[in-house]
Amino acid sequence: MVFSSVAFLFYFFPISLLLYYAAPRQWKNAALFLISLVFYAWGEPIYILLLLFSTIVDYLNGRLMERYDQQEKLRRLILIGSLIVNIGVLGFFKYAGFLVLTMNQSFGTNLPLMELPLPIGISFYTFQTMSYMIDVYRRKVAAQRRFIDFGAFVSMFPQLVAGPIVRYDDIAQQLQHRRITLEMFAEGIRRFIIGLGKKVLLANNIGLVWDMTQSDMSHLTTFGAWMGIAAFAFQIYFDFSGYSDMAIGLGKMLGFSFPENFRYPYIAASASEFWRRWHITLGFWFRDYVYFPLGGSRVGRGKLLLNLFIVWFLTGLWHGASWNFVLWGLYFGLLIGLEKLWLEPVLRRMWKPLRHLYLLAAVLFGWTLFAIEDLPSLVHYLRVMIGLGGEGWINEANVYVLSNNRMLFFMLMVGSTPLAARLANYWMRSTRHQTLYAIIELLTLALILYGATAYIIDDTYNPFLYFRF
Amino acid sequence: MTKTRARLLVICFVGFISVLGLWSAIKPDRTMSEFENRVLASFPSFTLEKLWTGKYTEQLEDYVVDQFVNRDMWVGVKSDLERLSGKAENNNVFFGKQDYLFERFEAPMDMLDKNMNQILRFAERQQAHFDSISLLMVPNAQSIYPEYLPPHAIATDQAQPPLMAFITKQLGGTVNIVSLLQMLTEHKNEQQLYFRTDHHWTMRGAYYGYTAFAESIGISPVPLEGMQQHLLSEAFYGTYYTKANQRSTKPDRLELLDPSLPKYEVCIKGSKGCSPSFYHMEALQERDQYKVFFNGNFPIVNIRVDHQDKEKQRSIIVFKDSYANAFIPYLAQHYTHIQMIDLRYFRFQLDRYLAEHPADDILMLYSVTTMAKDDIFKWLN
Repeated sequence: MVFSSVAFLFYFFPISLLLYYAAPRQWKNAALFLISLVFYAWGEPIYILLLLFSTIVDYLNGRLMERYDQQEKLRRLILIGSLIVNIGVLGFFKYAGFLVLTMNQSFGTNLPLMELPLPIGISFYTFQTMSYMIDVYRRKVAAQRRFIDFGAFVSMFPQLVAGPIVRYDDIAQQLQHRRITLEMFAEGIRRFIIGLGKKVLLANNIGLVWDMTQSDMSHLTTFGAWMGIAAFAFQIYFDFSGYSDMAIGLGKMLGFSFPENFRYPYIAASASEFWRRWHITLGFWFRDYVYFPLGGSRVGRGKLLLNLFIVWFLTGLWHGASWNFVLWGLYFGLLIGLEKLWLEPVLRRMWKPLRHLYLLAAVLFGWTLFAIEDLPSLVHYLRVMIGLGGEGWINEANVYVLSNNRMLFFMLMVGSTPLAARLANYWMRSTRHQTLYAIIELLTLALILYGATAYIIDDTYNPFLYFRF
Repeated sequence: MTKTRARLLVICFVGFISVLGLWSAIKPDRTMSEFENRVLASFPSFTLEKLWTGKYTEQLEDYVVDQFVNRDMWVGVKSDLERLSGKAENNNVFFGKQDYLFERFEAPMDMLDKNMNQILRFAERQQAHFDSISLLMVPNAQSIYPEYLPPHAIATDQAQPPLMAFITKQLGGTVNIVSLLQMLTEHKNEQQLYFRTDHHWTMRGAYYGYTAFAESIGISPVPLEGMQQHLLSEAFYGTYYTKANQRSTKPDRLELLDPSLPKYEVCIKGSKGCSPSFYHMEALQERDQYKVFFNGNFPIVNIRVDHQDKEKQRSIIVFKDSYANAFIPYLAQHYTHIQMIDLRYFRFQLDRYLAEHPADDILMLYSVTTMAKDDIFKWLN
């Protein structure tokens, strides 16, 4: 069930709220666990067992580690066992087919392919349980003794299928005691509606432009190629960050504070900065559990490059079992490596708009690697982008698409910057007409919700982009 | 956020989602949406297997979307928002000038190739048994009125005239191809040849189709002037309207041009009795008023006309889609027996049927859209 659907918004969520708030305090986590299981089973009736398996195994591992608190070797063994199970599950369901295919292609073997559908959200929840186990091992957090609470953490529906990746550490406190205030609930609603609008009104609509570009690669023009990949860049950002907004908003309505996941990535001025603003929780995860343990950047030049390679290889691979994602990850690793070694001083001296231009070009190039899976099409697309081998610079169809989406492109561009939020904030703080501000804010939110509802009901195009994560 | 503001937001939001959800759940289900002209999803039946495969929840999601309270209003709001945001289309229907709606036409060539081969095979086999085998292709409205498309939209729409030229080149040697483009274009400013809100041609458009066909097989067409004109409806909302969902669109006029005929009867194979008229006035009470012609489409319809003239003692078989329905009344001025066959529903062995029901001429009357998209010509062979 996606958040931007009638079934979720008008049935599942109101009923969940009712159950959750009707439950007495000591039963709230149980209610949340149950609601989340129903939410997951709704879309994955079979794989719910896998989620439960993961939950039970790491609950038990956590308890075991606590029991043998004094035996360092045993604790290590438990950690390794848990990681093997988690990575094994992820590897089997997400990467086995890919591995077999790659083996067959490179070595001419003929291993049989198993076509298993990928369990939704598996990359998110296995990363969460792994962070839990590692943190317990590092004694950063105490093991959770109550199964229900642990289950509520792993399966918590707002962030289950598309993040943010909430670590146990982030919400351990809140699982035991949380105070839900009216203000927090209202703030959650505001956040949810903004996220819903980003997904349904902006991302879905601009996604059509990318779809159209992709479906007719033979008549590509240079302008069309740039417009197409820009459309994809907008789609994935507004879809993904919209999803995170909705998750954070839903979390707030239930009394949880999730970590932020996006901070206007497209206003970054370097690749390193981009990744501090894009899918922040994933970046932190790899930093804390892979990059730092490997020694981080306080190592020799050779080791640094190796570390960057490992981290960015894995980051790319996390996004899907296909080589183009690996390529995409390594590409960013390379850029960040170059920036760390040489580019940073150069960039710092550069005129600021030029730095942004560098980043945008770098990101758009990156998105072509991400979005176009087969190599010949990718090469063709890139060639057309620089004016080679396409059907000219621009054609009438491009003009039509641009003119049709002019308002949308404008809103997407403004929405990619903190401009609107800052203006609203400034106005709220400085105005003497607080009531007027409140009314306008309420009306805006109502309008977004109203429009989004209309688009959800005439649901011609409402994709879920993270089925490969 | 102050307490009052927070309270207001919570009440509005929770109220909105729970009231609309509850209302949708308790209001009676609709089986059909007149506005969108389609059957709405009904409550899915439960089986364990459907639950395991995820099919049940999928159907349940379709159900709640289709049965949402005031669905028609929401669908209209979406269309308005598309228009407001500067888009010249909604659900693949262009908002044209002069209140014209057009559907974007896109078709891969392989289906057209397949269909042409089927027609060719059929024509080569049957050629000897008939005086003439003709193909009349009806172009879509934007081929005749391209100037009414929104600016630049034409570039995203696949043009039909080149397709028609291609078909003519491929089949012209075997089949008598009746070209309509010129004829329709010549007369396009006299009167409306296509509906603005529907994909069909008007009876006036069909008249020029008839003229072109008649001339191509050496019949002199009866002039329009002698026919009786009746205005049947000024509130016809066609298929494009149900896709574009713009409530502000002006409705079409539905006009009847009735040729004067001797007594005739229309017999739908498989149904009881025959009708003394082509026109089915009850259809004017429905959404799809184009059904006024023949009350829709049927596998086989037999029309017998009491002509006394010797040169009209002829019969014709018409393979057709719904475009023929507005065309047949004119044809009836020249034949005592017309057999209309709709291949979408016709499931007999065709060669045997033709041997048992001989005729003098064959006409295939199809829109270019049908020829390029529908996999129905396989039933010819």
